Amino acid sequence: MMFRFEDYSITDVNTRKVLQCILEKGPITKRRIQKNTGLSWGGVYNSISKLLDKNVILETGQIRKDTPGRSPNLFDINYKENLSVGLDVTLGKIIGVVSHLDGKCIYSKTLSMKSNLSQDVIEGLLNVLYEIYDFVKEADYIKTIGLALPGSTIKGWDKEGLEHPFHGIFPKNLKDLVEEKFGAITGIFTDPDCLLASEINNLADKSNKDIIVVLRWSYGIGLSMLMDGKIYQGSNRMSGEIGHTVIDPNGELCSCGKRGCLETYASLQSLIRKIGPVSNFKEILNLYNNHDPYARKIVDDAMDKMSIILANTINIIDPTILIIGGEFASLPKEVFESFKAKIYQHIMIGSETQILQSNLDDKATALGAALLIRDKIYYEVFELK
Amino acid sequence: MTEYILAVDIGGSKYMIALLDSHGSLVEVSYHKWRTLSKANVIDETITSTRELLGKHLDKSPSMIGITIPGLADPRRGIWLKSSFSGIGNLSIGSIFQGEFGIPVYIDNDARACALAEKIFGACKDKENFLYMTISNGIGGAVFTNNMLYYGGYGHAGEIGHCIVVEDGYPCKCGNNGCLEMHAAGPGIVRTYLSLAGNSGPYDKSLDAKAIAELAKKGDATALKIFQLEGYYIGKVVATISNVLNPEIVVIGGGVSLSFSLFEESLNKTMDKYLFKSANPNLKIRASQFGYNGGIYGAAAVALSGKNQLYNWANLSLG
Repeated sequence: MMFRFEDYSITDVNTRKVLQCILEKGPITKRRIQKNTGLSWGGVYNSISKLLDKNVILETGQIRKDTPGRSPNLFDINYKENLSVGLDVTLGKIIGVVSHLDGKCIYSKTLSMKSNLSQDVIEGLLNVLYEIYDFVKEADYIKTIGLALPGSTIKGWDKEGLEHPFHGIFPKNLKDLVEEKFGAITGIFTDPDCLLASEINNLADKSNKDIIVVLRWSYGIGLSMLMDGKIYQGSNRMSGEIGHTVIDPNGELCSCGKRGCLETYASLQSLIRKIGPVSNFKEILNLYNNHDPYARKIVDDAMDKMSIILANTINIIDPTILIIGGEFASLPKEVFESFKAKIYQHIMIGSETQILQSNLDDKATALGAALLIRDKIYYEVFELK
Repeated sequence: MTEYILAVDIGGSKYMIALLDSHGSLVEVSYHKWRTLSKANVIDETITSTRELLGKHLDKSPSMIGITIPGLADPRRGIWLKSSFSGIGNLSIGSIFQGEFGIPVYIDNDARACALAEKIFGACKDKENFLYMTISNGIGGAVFTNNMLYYGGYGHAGEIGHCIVVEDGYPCKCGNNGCLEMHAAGPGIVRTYLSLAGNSGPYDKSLDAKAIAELAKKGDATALKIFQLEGYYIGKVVATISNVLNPEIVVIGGGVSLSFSLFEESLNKTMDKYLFKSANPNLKIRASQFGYNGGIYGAAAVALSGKNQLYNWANLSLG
């Protein structure tokens, strides 16, 4: 199911319906498209013509008929020539993926980053894109590029000094820079929103009435929320800043300038700093599983504090589903169940929210970026009117 | 032609019946204390009082009824589901009133109703994302997102009263410890006052939050401290929620909000410490303008919004 990003404008509703039908059920005949969409024959015919003209779909053959008359043509998405690229730009690494329109990932590239200087991160991001374009070979096949950036970086485009994990100010014209170099429509999104898109794409059973909250618990901590089929943004487009909930105003200094934020207790960045010498969550988990007392204390404390904040969040938002994503989604099952129990302990009795452990891999956020830009821009790229 | 609304606000210790027009002008409001708060009595008393009031204004026949209830409501089916302090549950109050008066009836819980009142008549007319909380004998909350009243995945959104504010704090009927309701609602205020004043005995029924507010206004040091704590508890939870929801404004109503000036400074100082200001630089917190009549305007707003399908999907009409 195509994820409906709130900002995209539908210029041709009929053609969107036809495209969506082919995406979900292709290869498919015009007659079946008509039946599935409820459109008139003329409407289907016109939409198919537009989509063929733009190379979005292909004729893939004909259905064999035993009755007299012409065999109907089958239509399917032109997957090869309609690719969406997503990048997850985070501390320590940049992950890039190439996906088909249906969200299937066909290539990925991970670049480890030793430097957190903004200029080095930009260079790394561009290098990953160059590699992706080398793989695809035909530049024209890539129609859209989505970039997932840490929340406060992207939201702080016009707020210099706003907290972000990179050193130095991030360029405001990154979108233009990428579009100019690569010629594909580019969009920038927060990393929790991208992870949400990926999780929704992955959910087998979902309805438009679902309220889905995704926590990206990683180097930073952020939430994204799906309400009524749209990503909730808030009044300043700065919702989900759960990581900067203050636990103790006299606590450790946070990168946001306040003290004692949840991130200073529970982000991967702060755990690495406190537990050390470790460089990633896998190494922390090894210590935890080997009963290292200090690692256990720090991780358990992080889970305790997170559980209260999440419980309070559930009490207010009452989501259908809360998905724990990011590095902490790789907690061993028994540890995750214990963490889940802590959250349920603090939620108001009677809550029906399901708490799930994400089963997506580390490419999920990058894939989500590819999905979001696909849905935001795709129809405008082809000027479907 | 002027449209009139019959508003019924059901509270824990009292109820109000009012007649208003659709612009929010009050024709008459009557205040009543419960003789007994039970399933049978709630209906008897409110219907009797409603008939009395309507009997005085035969020329202003209401075209709809709005009812607010404390606790959990099912607005779609017009059922008062549960109320933790009264024991009332599964009461089809909507259909009972519809049967009596023969006009469309709309119900919702008090917090959501008051949020609708702020949207239709009050401080949030031009706001699309805001948080409302009511503080009286209990604490309830309601959320507006993208210009609609937000119910959540299971109809339980806005339970701000059961957000943990003090780890291992006072035990709550919901099963947790340290809920905001236990520390910042009326009974919690009294309990903490008695504890700080050196009396940890049984709950003194003659003392209530209003009386403690009066003491604070007269300069009683313990009472003033209680309201400082009040601001701290509310500020902590509101800051956490605001970091998540990024609202434009937070409005506080209910009986305790009438003492807003006593805890406003502490509330703002706590928000300064706990709120992620970069995301919420212009967030305002204010007391509801409706004061003691908040529930009445809430009930009217529930009816108006339901009948005209404005801001809530639960536009149940039982008429």
